[in-house]
Amino acid sequence: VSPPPRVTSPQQVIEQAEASLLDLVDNVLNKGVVVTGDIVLAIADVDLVYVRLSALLCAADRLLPPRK
Amino acid sequence: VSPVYVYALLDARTSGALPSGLQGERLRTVQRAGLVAVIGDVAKAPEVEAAALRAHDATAVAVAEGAGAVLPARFGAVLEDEAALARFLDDHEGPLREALQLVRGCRQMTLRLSSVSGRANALPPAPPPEESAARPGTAYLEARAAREPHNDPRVRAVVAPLEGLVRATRVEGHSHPPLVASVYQLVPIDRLDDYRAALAAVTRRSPDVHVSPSGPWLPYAFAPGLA
Repeated sequence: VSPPPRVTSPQQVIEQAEASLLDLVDNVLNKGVVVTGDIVLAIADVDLVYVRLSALLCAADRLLPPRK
Repeated sequence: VSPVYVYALLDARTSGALPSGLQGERLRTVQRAGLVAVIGDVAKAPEVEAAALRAHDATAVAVAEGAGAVLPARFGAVLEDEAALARFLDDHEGPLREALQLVRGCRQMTLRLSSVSGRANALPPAPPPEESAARPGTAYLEARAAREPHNDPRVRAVVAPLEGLVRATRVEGHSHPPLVASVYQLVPIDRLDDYRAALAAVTRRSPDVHVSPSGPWLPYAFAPGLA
């Protein structure tokens, strides 16, 4: 028998551990000086990761129950 | 010729010892056009993962310890060699120096504002045509200005009381409720405690909006082209 799943509300996720990761991602992948030149790294890979994370975080926002 | 990874730009050489880089490489500085870049020689670009993002930020923070003005670089760009970095610094000297002047002695606080009522937007809708017919251009511009995220009354209620404690504010509106806006504020390091106290008072008397603060961060949101 598997243990009951731990229930964590989206609000808890956003306000606790994930909040710091969200801020980290926002700062480090979406802000900061964009150093351009003869770039070796495929920047598209970084952008793709950011787009995926943004979609995930937006999806978490939509899971929030409406407040009365 | 070795690829270089850029961690941060400074206005003067950092006084403390430099930390190690993402791949354990020894960091060094390159001075060019009145700017100082803190770089590491790397064999390849870092993988995009949470640990690497944290390490990038932690490295930039450690570099900032001995510097007065720091602009952190965005994660992930590896330049072909030092000559490419020199060209970048030459091409962007003016905006970079202006940004360094702005952020000197400051850290960034980030406020995520979400609506308690769940409403996405408290801003006035566009005026109906009959009201704007007399001076349509002016009416259009006024209505557009009123819909800017920094004019949202919920954002104003949080930002206005903090204005005396910050050097600059940047607001990004969000279209996914309940998120209303992200507010980035540049706070002098010696005013951070005052800022936190003022923010606590502001959040206690702002019933329409929930404020999730984080920071202090390096001034990522005040890089040239963003602020």
